[in-house]
Amino acid sequence: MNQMVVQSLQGVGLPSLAELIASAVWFGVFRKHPRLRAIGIGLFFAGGIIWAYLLAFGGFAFPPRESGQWIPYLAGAVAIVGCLQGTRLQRKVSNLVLSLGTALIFFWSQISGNSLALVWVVAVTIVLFVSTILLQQLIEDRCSGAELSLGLALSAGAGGIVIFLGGSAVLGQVSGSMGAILGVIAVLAFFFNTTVGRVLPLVYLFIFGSLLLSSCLFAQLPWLTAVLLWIAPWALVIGQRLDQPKISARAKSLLIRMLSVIALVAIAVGSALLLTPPSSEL
Amino acid sequence: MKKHYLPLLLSVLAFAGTTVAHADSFKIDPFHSAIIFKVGHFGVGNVYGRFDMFSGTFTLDQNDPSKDAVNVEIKTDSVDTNAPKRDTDIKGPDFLNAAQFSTATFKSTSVKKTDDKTYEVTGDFTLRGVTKPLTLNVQAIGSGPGPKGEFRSGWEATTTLKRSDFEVKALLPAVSDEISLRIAVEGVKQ
Repeated sequence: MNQMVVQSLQGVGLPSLAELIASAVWFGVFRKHPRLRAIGIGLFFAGGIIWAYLLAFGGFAFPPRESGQWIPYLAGAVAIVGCLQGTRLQRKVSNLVLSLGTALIFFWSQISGNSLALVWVVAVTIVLFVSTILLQQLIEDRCSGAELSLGLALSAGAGGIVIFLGGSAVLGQVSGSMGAILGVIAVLAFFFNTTVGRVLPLVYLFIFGSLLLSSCLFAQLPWLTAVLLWIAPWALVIGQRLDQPKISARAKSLLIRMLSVIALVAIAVGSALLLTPPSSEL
Repeated sequence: MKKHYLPLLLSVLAFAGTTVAHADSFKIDPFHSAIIFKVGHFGVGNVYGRFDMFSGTFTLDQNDPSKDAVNVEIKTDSVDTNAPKRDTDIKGPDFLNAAQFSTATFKSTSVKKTDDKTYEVTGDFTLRGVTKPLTLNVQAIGSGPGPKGEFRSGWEATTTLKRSDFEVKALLPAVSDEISLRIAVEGVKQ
């Protein structure tokens, strides 16, 4: 098999497999402790992203000099902040700080004497901060763990494809790995019939946001595609969480609620196919 | 009294003139220069590319080659591998990240004459924000008047670097770690 395909499959498969084993144990052990379950799932998710990054980029850069190199550090920091939000940290304040910090990672070097960079910082901070409120609070209250994870998995997985099309195989691989890991968590959350907590969506937001922003700014991912993928999970706001004890009823509800997410993701992938140049000759 | 100082003054001026004459500055002529690279593809072949936009200067001291100096700046978004989509990928975040790091530079730190016409030029090479020492094996091609009477000096340098040293690790080992560089320059005396 093609060497690059094998590498990509390993990059996506190994972190997902590790996530499956670790999260299955965690879901089983802390089934009746939602806070501890959320912390573990969030930390494993961040760990999976860090491993996926390591496999894709072949190492970490320290100190990070460019925005993409911040991804593993950001994943770790967001996961820790997310865990602390359950105890002492003010959720909104810490989310605002994380949003501003992420925006500065991208625009810090251009900020002096450049009002456009300042506008970018403000805009990215607002988008991230509003998204944290929407995803952490609103959607989590309206979705089952499986619905939320699968919605995010579809966006991140499709993100892998469109980022690859947009000219970054490596960032695409990281996004694809995120999608696969979230898919694994969705399967576990479905069978354990539990929620996944608020750490996981927080990690998703900042990492997927960074991947999309990097791909738009430094590669050729169309902004329209990025925006569509970003808003795709918000479709889960429509409807109510139904706690179905039966697997068949849960599956039916899951499929119905995913339709709107799938529609947005499909439009996003279609837009990428239309707007990005033909595939590379690497 | 003034007569005593005149020979001294003349000798100082003469010495200064001699020094200037032996350290000549040249500006790289981009129309008669090239920066070409070679990278392995899946271990079965090589892909060649070039950078179309670069600039630089070099100084030649005829009496003391160790005082020679070279400075080159390459525009990373001018990479051309005869495949526009691939060029876009190379300019992107996986490889050169030209949007964030618009130039690669080489600044010599020492020059050693190894033979009649060959030199080892060691310097700091900066790619994607990472600076590492790099040694160029340089050969003098020739020198003399150009078509407009300007004095020209031609050189060719080769070296090999590992892209992973500069944290460009995407698609290893399918796209080889080792990159061969060939830099051919003609400089016009300033």
